[in-house]
Amino acid sequence: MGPSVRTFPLSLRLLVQGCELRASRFILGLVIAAAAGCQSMAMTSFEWDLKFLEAISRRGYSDLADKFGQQMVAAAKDPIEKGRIALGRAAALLDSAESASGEEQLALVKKAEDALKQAVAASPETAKTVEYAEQAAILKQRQAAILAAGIAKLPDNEKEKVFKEADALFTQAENDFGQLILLRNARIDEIQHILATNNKNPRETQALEQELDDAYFQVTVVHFRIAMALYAHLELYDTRPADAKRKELLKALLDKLEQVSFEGEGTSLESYSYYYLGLVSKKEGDLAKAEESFRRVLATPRELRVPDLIRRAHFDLVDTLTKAGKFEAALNANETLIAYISQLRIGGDDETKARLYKATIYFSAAFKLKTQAGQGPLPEAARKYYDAGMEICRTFINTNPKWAGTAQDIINEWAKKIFPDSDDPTVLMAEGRVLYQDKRYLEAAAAFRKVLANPKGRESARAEAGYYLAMCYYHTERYYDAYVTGDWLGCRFDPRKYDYVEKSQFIAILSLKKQLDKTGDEFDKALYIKTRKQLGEEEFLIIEARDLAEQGQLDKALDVYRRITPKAASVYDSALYEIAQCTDMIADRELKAKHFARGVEKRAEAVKLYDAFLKWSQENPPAADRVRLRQNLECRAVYKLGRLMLDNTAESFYRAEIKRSGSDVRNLSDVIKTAAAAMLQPVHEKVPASAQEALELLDTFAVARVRKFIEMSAGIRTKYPQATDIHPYVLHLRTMALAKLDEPEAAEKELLELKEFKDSSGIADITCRVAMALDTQARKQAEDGNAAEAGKSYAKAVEHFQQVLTLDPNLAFLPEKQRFDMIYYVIMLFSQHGQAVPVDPKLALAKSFLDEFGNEAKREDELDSVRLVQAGYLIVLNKLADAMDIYEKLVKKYDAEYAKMRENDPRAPRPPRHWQAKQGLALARKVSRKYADALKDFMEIRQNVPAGGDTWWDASVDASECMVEMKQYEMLLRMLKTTFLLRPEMGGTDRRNRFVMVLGRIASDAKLPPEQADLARQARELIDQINEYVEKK
Amino acid sequence: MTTTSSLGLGRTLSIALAAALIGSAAAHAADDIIRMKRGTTISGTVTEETYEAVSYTSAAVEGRVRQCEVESIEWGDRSPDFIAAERARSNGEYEDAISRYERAMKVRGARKFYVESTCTYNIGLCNLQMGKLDKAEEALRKLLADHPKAKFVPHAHIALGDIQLGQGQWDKAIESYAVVGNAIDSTLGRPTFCDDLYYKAKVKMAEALVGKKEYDKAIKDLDALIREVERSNPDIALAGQRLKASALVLSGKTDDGLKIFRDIIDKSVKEMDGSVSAREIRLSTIVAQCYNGIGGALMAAGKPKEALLEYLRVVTVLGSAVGDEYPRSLIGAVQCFNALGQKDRAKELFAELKRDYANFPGVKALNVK
Repeated sequence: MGPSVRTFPLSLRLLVQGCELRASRFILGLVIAAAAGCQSMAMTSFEWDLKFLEAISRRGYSDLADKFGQQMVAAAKDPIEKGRIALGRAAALLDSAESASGEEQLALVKKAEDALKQAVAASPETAKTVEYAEQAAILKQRQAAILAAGIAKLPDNEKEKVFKEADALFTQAENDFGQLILLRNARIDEIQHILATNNKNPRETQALEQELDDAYFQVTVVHFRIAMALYAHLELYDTRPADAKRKELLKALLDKLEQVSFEGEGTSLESYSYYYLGLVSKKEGDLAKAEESFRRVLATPRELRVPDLIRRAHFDLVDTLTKAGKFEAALNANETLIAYISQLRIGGDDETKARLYKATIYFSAAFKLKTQAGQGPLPEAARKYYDAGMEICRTFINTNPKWAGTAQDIINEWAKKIFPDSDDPTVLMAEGRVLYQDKRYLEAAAAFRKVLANPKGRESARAEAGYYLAMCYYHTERYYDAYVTGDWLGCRFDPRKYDYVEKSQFIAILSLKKQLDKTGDEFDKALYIKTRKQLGEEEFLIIEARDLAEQGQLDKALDVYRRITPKAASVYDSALYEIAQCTDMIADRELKAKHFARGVEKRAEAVKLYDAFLKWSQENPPAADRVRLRQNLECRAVYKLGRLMLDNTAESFYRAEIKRSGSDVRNLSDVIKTAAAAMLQPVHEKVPASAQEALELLDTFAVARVRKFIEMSAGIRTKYPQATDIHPYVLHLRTMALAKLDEPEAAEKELLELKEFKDSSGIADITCRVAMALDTQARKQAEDGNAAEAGKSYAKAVEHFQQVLTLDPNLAFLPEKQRFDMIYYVIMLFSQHGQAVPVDPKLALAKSFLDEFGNEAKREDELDSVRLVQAGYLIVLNKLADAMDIYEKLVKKYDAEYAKMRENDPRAPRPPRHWQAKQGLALARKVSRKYADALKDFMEIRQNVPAGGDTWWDASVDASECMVEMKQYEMLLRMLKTTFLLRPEMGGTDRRNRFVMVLGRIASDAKLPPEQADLARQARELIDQINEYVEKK
Repeated sequence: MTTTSSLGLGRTLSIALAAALIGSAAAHAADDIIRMKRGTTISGTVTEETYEAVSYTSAAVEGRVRQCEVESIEWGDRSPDFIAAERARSNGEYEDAISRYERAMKVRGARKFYVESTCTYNIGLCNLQMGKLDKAEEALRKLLADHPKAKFVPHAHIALGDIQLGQGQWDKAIESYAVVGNAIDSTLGRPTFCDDLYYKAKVKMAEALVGKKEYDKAIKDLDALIREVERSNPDIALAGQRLKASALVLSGKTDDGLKIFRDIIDKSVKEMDGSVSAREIRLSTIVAQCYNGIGGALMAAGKPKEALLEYLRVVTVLGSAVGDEYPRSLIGAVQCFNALGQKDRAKELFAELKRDYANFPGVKALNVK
């Protein structure tokens, strides 16, 4: 149904009228797409505009949504419509407020409040609606939460006032939700009354029953919302633990959560309520109840599990057990958590977090034993726990730079409690780091100084402490102190062993420079010059160059780097590497400024420089004491080369150049020559005859370049065993490269290796690439007729995609415009081959996809595919009314489409999708025991699709099953006899068995009237004939 | 019957030990045993101490082992009070340590010759640490009077010398150090006490000479000492060089002195890399002494800024691990900051001195406002 002028959506009317909607091109694109979609979806313009408003608000364009909402209100003529739009606008604004903060959040909430008022002003009836009650309650809760969050930062004299305001708003929100329950209950009564009094037709009755179910569920949802409001309200009272109202709130919250857990049984609300019950109990010190609640969440049946909630419950259970002093149980639960995360094989941070949490458990145990022992010496068992905790933290500090800070925080929290005057360098370092981060430099210096001066400490820790000590003094303008520290480090520790030493020398020189700037003193000047010279003039150059590079003066830095000669053996290798790196940075700068030609040229130069560095390095092996550093540099160069070689910028650039050259052969030849050089390919002499040939050549360069990287980075871990920091990055690139080359098994191997580095970031992204490569391989294998191998590849692809969705359910690693395609792709893959994925998560994925992208009008076909998949899952879950609703809409839409198609071409065949929708609807009807409707549909399909195809056979089997249910034996036998006569294989084993079962039911029907007794005999005969045929075959 | 040769040679060990174990006569002190000549019969009860002493005696080339070489024997009969006292002393809890040592001396059955002498010596040391010089001297003199053969006798002489040195009693100090520093066993032709103590006393004697302003003699003695120990005892050689550098500076040959100081620093720092912590502490202390020496020389030459940098190297980098050199450098740095007009820093360091080193010589004399 096309929209009339009256019903034409505002979103398009605004555009047509040239209104000043200052939207980006993207949004305008959306608007157009939305308008186009409106035509095919046959929605009213009003509904469509509301949906559009929600969609743009959800995408974060709150200002645009608001403007659009205001214009909708202004354009609407019907007061009820006005009211509903204002409500929709309020909801959209509250959605936006959810992700905003500070002043912006306050402003959005205020606007939402105005929108609600506007709704009531436009249509006083609105205030009586469920939607209004819901938005009003949410609004108050949000207002209260914002006020509550800001209290701590207020001046003391304002705190009480704002506290009271927040308190009152929370109470109002709780009451408003109560009103909402009354409204929803009123609707329940209404439906029950209709069901009890009216003689509706079965279809209407079923719809009402479904609505009743939904209404009950919605009431539980509102109860849960009240619980959440009470939870936030209780938090407001955290600063007033003795307040009587806090006790009241706590009781109300616990009662509410108990109620939700009872009423929401069998839904995810049950798990959520137990989870919050656990959190509240933990907070209130009722650790036994907290433990029980978290364990209940973990016992959720698989099909109802929400992975994120399960993970959080695991963590909270471990924490609760630790707080309860059940350390052994906590350790066991922690192991279970690690195993749970590990079994997902997703890598990432959670597992690391859990492993590190073990240290907290050990420290808690040590602290408890210490407290029990009183003032006496630390008991032996406590010492053991303490050592175990320290060992874990030390391992993280020494091997895992990303988590070193967290490990130090843990030490800082616990070790000082257990050994207040500890001189353990690890503890002191942790203390110093925290103080340093807080910019309490002089206090931090005291801790670092103890580590540096402690001859029992590890040399690497002492060197690091020395560096931070120098930095502390530098920041506090104690330049002499900074200088003597940096200078001492250079004398005392080997700069080839510890990176911090060189940095400290740099700080020493900088400090002297600052001191000189400050005083202009001759002594300071002489000392500055002397120190520079001591370091070696060329060695100093590298410091100067790095300083310039850090300040962004890259060209000047390059000039300085280039003055370093091989004579400066201690820095020459670094200089060569850094020249390449600096050039790389210049390229990035150029590309960022959209100077593409120059950027691509500079990148090509950087590639050559990295490559030249590697060659030089291999020809000039380092002295024994520089092996570690050199390995590090080489490994970094390989990584940088990989990044450049896998980057598509050059390829896109030359592609555009080729297209621009058109058929000018000389130009094409030049472009290809430059491209070959830039992509590290041998000089290309062959002149491409056409742009197409040039493009093909470019493709081969790109592939060859990736292959070259694979080759040069092979065995990176054995080749550079000391450069462990860089291994995960190179492995990441190798995985990506292999996936790009469609070598999924090799990529999978690299991925597994990569996952050994638990903290390597971007796992979701790379896993996704491997999964896609596996799927591509599966398709090829299927095309080649290798079904078994294809099945294995598909299964692997599905497994990898599941991991991706667990790691990053929103696929945030992808640019927004690619997310539609990727999620669609995954849904389709799951629907075809995802037996390993339970239906619930698959349905949830399809639902969230439709919620998110339901308005992508240009992608209507893909959206319909997902709708069909969604409806299929709903049937599996026995949610027949929902499934039928989807099918009916689709069938209706397709019928209209088909009618149009036939207007143009009366013999036009129906697209397969139409039959798919019809078949789904028929199936849903059949499962709902609406056999007559279902039979009609199946027969229509049977008569219209090509006989003998899968769809035809399925429709035939389903039709015959409907007939037998309806006891239309005669017609059934007639149909099956004909079928057998024409196609005795009866659609293959599975379908044949179903036909035989149908016939069996006729043959064994004892209630057949005497006049139909012969039908039983005929059925038996047909069974015999079918069996005979099978045996013969 | 146990003999001073049997245990080390092993032939009659079991018989001798068995026989001795049945015996009932009083045990010989290990100190006595190790002075016995090879083959002397040891009568009486064989204790763990006897066993240790005899095995040391037997192991010695000359058939005799000097007292200092059995210092590390685990005597095995230390009372809980003694152990607690040792711990308290190492933690700097000197008052507590003294009272525990006093209690340990009263434990029945404790070997008087060992426990009493050791406790008395340590009480002296604790008092010395607390700056109670009279009490320290009293304890040390008691030890020398009551236990003239005890293990810590040479240590006590040196400690006594240190007290006298600190009070500017140069000649008395030289006399006390000389008991150890000039003691040569005529039979063995080697220092009577162990080499470390002997050479340490020599260095101290030279230090007293420097105190007496007899720089030339001090430098001459130190040159001889340095030549003697350059290879066998590099730490003593370094200490000697450091003192020589100080003597040169004080005698007006500042540049020569500073050059030696810098050489010592370079050499010591090179040796620190990869060294075990105890050696690093020794080397750091020598380095700190040199920095302080340079600082003092530069300050005396009216170069407070240059001097400050030297002191700061100890204050900022080496820290309190270098013992007395640390408060010494703090004092130097306070004086430099004062001279440079940086009162805040001077006050900050002075506060640390008052808090942690109130009794350290020179602190009370500082004037920081």
